[in-house]
Amino acid sequence: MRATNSSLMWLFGLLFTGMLALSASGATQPPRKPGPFACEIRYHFREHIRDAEPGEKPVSAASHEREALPLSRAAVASGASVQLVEGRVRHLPYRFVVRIVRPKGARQETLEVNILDRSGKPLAGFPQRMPNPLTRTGDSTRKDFEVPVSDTLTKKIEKSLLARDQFLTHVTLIVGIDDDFLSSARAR
Amino acid sequence: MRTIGTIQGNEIIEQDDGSVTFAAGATIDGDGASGQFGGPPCYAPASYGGETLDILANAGSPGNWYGVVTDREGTPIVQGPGDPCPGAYVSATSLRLLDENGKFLPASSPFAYVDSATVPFMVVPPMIIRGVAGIVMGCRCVVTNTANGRSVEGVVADGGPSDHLGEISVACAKAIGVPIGSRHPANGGGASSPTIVYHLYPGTPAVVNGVTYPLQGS
Repeated sequence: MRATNSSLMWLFGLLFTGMLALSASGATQPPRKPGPFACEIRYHFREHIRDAEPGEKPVSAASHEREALPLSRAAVASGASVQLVEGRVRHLPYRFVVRIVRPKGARQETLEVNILDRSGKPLAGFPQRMPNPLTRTGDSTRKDFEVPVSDTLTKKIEKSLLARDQFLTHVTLIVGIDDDFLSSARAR
Repeated sequence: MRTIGTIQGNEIIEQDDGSVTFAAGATIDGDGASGQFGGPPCYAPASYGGETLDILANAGSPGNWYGVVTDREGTPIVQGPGDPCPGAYVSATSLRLLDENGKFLPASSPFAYVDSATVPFMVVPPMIIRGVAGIVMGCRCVVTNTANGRSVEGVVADGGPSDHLGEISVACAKAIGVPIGSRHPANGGGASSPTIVYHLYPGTPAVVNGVTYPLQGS
């Protein structure tokens, strides 16, 4: 009986110590990390309808080809938790750097998007920084950024990527966190 | 049952009853939205303050407007004070709607087209339009998202590129839970994996929200 009592005392002590340790770790716990995200480049195009009669719609609905950037990876920078996508795609001479940053102790995350040319210089209009607009609910799981392309580059993309009668309208970078977007990026 | 063809690895099947089925991802088409039923327009000039479904670059630029309705000089028609969405452009679908006398509504009318913002519709490539006996444009369709089991009745209202399969209106995407873009719903949204099942019924006029759509041969 005495042995049982002492075992119980030891067990309670262990539980108490464990609870204290958990509580202490909670106090110093680093901020919640940003979740994973994915990025893809969309080459939007339409197609001329060859046999369209006068008064009929002369082009197809808009569609797009796409190229994925690598899935985000976790990093730590100056104590902040970061999810980072960095990479290039085949049809653009740019480097993409997209980060979701949660500074130490902060509740608000920041979305940072930068697109750099071959010389490492940001394209006009970049970098862009904003409170992270992406949430996993509602209609805000994705955000688009227009990527500037010159006429020469447009012609090059049309030649190498699009089919006959199709023409490039614009290029966008899409940042997304929904399951469809993430699973698609993982599959590629 | 026969295979009409294959696009992007997805087989398009004509069933014995003449209906057509295929599975694909989903691109979002904002065309046809001109604010005619209170939703946002697809395109508007930069001076327009409200939300638009798509980036204006998808409609063209001065001297080359291919994605909005223009006058004879090629200048986009801007909706006036008496129109449903003053200041916005008029965006077109391949399916043109009729007046009460069965004649085409004027091309410049926002009501002449199917509103992507409020009407569930799907887009089909020429292979389907030309590959079946029944009239496809204006016919009934059912679009199902197998990822969540949600389904919606709609109309085939627009023509897509010849080498792409699976495109739906913004209203259709919302109805079946396909993500849309936060800034421009038609631009950033869509489903990448072939989890969307499309079933269309050539020759059967679509009835959506009490509206019967005209079948329109090409």
